[in-house]
Amino acid sequence: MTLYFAKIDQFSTNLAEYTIRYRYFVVICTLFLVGLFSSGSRFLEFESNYRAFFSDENKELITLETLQATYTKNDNILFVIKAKDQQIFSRKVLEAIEWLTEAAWQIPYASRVDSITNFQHTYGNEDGLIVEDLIENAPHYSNAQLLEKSRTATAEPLLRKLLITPDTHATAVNVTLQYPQESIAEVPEAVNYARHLRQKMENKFDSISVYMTGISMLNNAFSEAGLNDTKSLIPLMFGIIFLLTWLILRSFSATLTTLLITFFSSVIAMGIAGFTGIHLTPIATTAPTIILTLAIADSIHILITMRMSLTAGSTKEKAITEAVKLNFLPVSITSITTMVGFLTLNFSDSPPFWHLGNMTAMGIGCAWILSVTFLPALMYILPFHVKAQSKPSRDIVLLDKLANIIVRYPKPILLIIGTATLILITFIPRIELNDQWTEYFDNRIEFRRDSDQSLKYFGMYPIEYSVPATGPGGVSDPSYLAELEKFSNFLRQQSEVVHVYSVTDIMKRLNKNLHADDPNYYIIPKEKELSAQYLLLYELSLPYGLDLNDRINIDKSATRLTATLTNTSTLQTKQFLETTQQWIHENLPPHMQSIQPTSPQVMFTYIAERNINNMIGGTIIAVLAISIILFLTLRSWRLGILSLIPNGLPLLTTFGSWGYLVGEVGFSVATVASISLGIIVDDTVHLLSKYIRAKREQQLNAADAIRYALRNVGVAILANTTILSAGFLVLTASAFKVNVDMGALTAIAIISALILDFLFLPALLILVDNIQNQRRHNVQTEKKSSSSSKALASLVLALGIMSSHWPEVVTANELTPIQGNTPNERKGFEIVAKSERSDLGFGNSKVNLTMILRNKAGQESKRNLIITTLEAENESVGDKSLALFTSPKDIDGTALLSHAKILEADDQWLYLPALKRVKRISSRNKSGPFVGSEFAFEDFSSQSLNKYRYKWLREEPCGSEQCDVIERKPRYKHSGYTQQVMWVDQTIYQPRKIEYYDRRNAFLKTLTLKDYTAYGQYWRAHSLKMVNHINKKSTLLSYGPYEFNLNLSDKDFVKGRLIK
Amino acid sequence: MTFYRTALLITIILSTTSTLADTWDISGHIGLEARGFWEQEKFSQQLQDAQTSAFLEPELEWLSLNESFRLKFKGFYRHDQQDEERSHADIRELYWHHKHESFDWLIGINTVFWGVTESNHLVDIINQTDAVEDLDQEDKLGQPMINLNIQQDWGLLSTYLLIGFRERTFPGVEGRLRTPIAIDQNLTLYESSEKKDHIDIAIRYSHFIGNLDIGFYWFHGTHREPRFIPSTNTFIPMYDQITQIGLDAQLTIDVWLWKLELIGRDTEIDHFWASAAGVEYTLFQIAHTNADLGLLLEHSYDDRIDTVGANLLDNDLFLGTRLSLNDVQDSSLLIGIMLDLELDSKSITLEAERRLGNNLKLECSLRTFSKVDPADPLIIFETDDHAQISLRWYY
Repeated sequence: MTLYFAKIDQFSTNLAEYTIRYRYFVVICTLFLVGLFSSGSRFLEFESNYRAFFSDENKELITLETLQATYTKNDNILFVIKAKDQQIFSRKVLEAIEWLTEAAWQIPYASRVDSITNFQHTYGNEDGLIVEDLIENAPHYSNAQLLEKSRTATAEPLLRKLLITPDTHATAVNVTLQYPQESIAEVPEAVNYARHLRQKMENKFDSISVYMTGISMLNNAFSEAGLNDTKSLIPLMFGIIFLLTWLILRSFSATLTTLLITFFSSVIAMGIAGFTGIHLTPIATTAPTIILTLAIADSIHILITMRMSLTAGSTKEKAITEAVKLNFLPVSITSITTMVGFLTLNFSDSPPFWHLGNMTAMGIGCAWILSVTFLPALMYILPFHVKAQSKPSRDIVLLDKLANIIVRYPKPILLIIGTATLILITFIPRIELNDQWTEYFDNRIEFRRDSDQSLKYFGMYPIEYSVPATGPGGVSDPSYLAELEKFSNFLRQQSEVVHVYSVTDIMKRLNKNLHADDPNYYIIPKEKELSAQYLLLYELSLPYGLDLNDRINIDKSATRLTATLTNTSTLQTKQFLETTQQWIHENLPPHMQSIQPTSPQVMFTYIAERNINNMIGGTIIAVLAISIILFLTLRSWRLGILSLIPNGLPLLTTFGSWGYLVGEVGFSVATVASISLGIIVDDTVHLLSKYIRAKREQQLNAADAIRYALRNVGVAILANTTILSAGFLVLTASAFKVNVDMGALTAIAIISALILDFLFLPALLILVDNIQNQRRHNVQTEKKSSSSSKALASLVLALGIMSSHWPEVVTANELTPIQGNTPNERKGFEIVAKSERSDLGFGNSKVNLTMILRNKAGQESKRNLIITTLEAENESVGDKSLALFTSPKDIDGTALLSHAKILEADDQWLYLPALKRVKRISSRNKSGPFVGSEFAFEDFSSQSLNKYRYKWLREEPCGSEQCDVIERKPRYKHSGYTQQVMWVDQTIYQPRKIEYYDRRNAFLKTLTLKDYTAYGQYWRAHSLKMVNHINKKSTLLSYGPYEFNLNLSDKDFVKGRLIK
Repeated sequence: MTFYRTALLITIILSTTSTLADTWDISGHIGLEARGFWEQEKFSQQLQDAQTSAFLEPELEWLSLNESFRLKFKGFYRHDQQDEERSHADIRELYWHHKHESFDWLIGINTVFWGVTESNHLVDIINQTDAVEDLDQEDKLGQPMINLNIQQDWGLLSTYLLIGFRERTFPGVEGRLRTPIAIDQNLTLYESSEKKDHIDIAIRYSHFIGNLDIGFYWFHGTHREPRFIPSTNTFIPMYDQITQIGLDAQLTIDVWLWKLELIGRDTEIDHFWASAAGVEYTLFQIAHTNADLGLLLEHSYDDRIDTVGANLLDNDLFLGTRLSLNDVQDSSLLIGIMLDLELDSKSITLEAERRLGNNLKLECSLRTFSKVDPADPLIIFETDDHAQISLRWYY
């Protein structure tokens, strides 16, 4: 093992000598490479869309895009106008609003403008229905007319609290925008024009104040915040670091070298990012900050060692060589582990964090290389003066004192710090995940100020629901409208809801109008034909751009309902959404059970949780990976394990302190672990590597080795901690809350790491060494090992029970169904969709199944299984199922667990009872036979809507029923079929027969489904017979009675539950 | 130990008095086995050419109504006609298990398997190997334990308190596949003064993220594998105290399974690490039939490679192929060859199995030790090439 260290020392010494010898070459090469890579930064652009925060597979993003594809995109700019004299309904103010309503159509990409003036008011008279602008030519209104308009506007449910406040102090003009999304300049273009309009308006009409908010303004704010940080924070950081470095190193050349290295690393990382087309978000712009602070750490370690050698009297060349030799291994380890830490950000659900992770990893790699090549070269060229001193400096004396204290009192130190840590850790559960996305920006950003103002008058956060009817044209159905009314009323009763936009309000008004404005008719029309007619009449009268396509879908089978919430946090929104889903589950009919809420607010509500859970898993793996790296590079797996403590604990204490002090955290917290881990590991690695060197090379005992380590590395660690925490505290000055939280938390983590590495780790090393020595001298182990085992066991049990209250996670993968283009395709899809939807909400089921396999000669064999299924939350995610074999007896206990995916391969685990072994298996084999039967795996797994493309063929009798014959083709890869033909009956919409065509499109087999029984609203076939026409074999599946409503959850469908 | 036995007894009694609509299940199998050796025995008193035995493995299980309580018993008995030591009985499982939504616990005797590779079960540590049964180390003796598992969204945390130690079983003088001099188990030594009563601990974290299944554990206690101390006319097994960490990981990408097992062990006299890494590639439905062909490649490495007489699998390569016919009778065939890359030794294994009718299962296997280098510890098995056939009847 000493050979290994010797080899590394040899290599690093040679490296130092080469870089000194060819120093000018090295410097020129570096400058050239920096120039080359940094040219990529001209391709860098800022991302201006909140969508950038969500990966393409994000469940909520997909739901949102589906809704927007059906109705309209809801990107908007909301102008909120406040009258200075608090009266909107005055001629001047109304004139201003009319002006804005007109002018706003010119905003680039505007597709619709809604305000109180162009609201399509309806009323009835003898001629029928009149549809016209509510307010037209306001300067000509008399006071009586103004009063009347005021009353009408505030009484109209579609305006009240949405575009006009009940007390008429403020009104809003909503501009809906449709961006083609071809260039990222689109949003700034629209926003700039809108700002220009506001300027004009405020100049022209002095009786009003105008605020701007809305989704497009939010998008814009993201890029503005990013720019601000880059312009102000980076120079500030440079300044602070320059100052601190110069104070610590007391040499201009050393400071210059450090700064050059940090600058070059950042610039190269940004350049590569530019070349690879990364868009910068405010999160990714923190990469230079992080690279900067870590590059400094590397340089300072080497420079301080160099200074120590010079102080002791070495020549410059020897000092540099010694510095590189002593620090090469720890600097390399630190860089590798930090890169690993950042690369785990790729586990996050949010693309900006991937970019941050990758950019930072690249920058750190550069800093590593530069600090062991460019730094020695440049330091040899530049002058570096240091006074030779014979007695040790004050820092060293203090560190020695510290080392002595630790050596004398390891146990009390461990006890005190250990207890403090444990107490802090107990505060972690207090942390609540909460985000309020307008509060992502502070008052320096105009969007925040304007939104705060707007929120006083109007709701801010729309939640959209697409409510389906039973079929095309179903929205006119009185029962549909009644359900919709029930839903709207429920929502209106919720305290967070400010306004509900539902088409029932339009229908009721039309009904009243067409009965000569009789208020008794302000109810839902009683006949479907009437509703349909009213709707048609209304739509025909609407002017261009103000139609109902953003509220009702094309075939009139669904309408969009919008609930606008007040200023709520993600926590409150989550509770609201859960309460609403519960109500929907209990009160709405089955065909409406698929309603999902969507909107940017919904997306941000879940992304924090999603990120956190991903990151916890990722961080645990990173910590393990780092221990393995340490064990491999330090050649001592015991130290590798021991390192888990000073590596893992600072994070826990940081979150504990935050839990105690603040208690609330946004989704930025997910990244703090990755970011600080690398920095934390740096302290540990340098200390441990010096400790090992002392023990192995110099044969020192533990106490002296600790002294050696602290003496050699203590100053550098202190320097780094000071510089790094100062650097991260700079981030707390950002206008973007995510960066502020991240800066504060990381600074706390670094400082905790210092305490743990200076006190806890050395004490632990001393204690472990003592135990080892005792063992070496005694053959007999003491009783204390068993009592310590018992103590440890009870501690573990306690921790285990405490930890069983983590937040739940849902990660799912949803893809949109293909509805088809031709009428037959759509018809096919709709019939199968009806069939599928009739099964929605069964929750979970369990059934005993007997499989009878019959070969060509008629010989039979039997298998028995129990199949338990857990339904996924929505139809675009696969179910989870567990198939347990009970017969034949030799495979009794064998189980197959599947997490079905729609288009990708499922996750599958097989349990072999003879070995009690769970094995994860490849599930590419969808077309292979299921336990030797004529059913393939793909026949057996859940037949989700999204797996196939459909086409209706014809109608024909099937047995005693009438069936629709539909062709379906698999969308997923590796299917054994080119197509299938299914017969779906027209009474209960269940498949009766399916024909399968193999890869050569030959007719392969037929499945007949019989003995359908209803369990409540859920139909199940109890006899399935598959006949293979080519090999003349068949398989019959006989199902026993199904059980539903079992007490099952995701936790019953994990590999741990397979083992019996 | 008696405390735990009593507790178990009480729970059994309690459970038998509360027979709501729960389920009792009796199952198991009885079998016959015959081995044939065609080479002359190497050491005196070893059996000549045939070794026959009969065995039974009864199973009894009680499940409560909603399956949250389980009581299970699995016993084992073998009677070997030639080797006295191979006739033995064991309680493989006898436990009480309680399942909650996010955690479950178990008290009693149980078998736990950890691992992903096929040729070298490196990380598997909880149970003692019933080495007299077979060479592949897949037969295990029951281990008394208290086990708590916590299942959360971030993974599964399992803790084990292993109470009491089982000594490894070895063939007797008449047996083949044994050491030159028979092992005297009466003189067994332990590093710990508590000997068999030492309580061992294991903690394991396991999780899966996308395609990656990963598990990591820490174990402290008595090493299941004994060292042998030569003494006059015998070898004495010595069980050291160890601390061991292990990692097992499998990456499942399409038809490729990438596997890794790593351990690090610290004992009184040394510390080292060892690995087993491999890949399994499956060809599904080859030649348009229902059969699957799996190809396996695994490499085992032990860091103690420079020290003398340490380990069998210190730098070995395993190549194997597994053919599963996916037929009604679940027929399958496994052929494997283990190559020692240091010493140029080879060992070939062949295993085939098939169900006959509904309740019978036939297993045949063949094992040869060809070209064994004299420096290889496997030299003791040099003349023990054998074929084995067994028939089990399941009830």
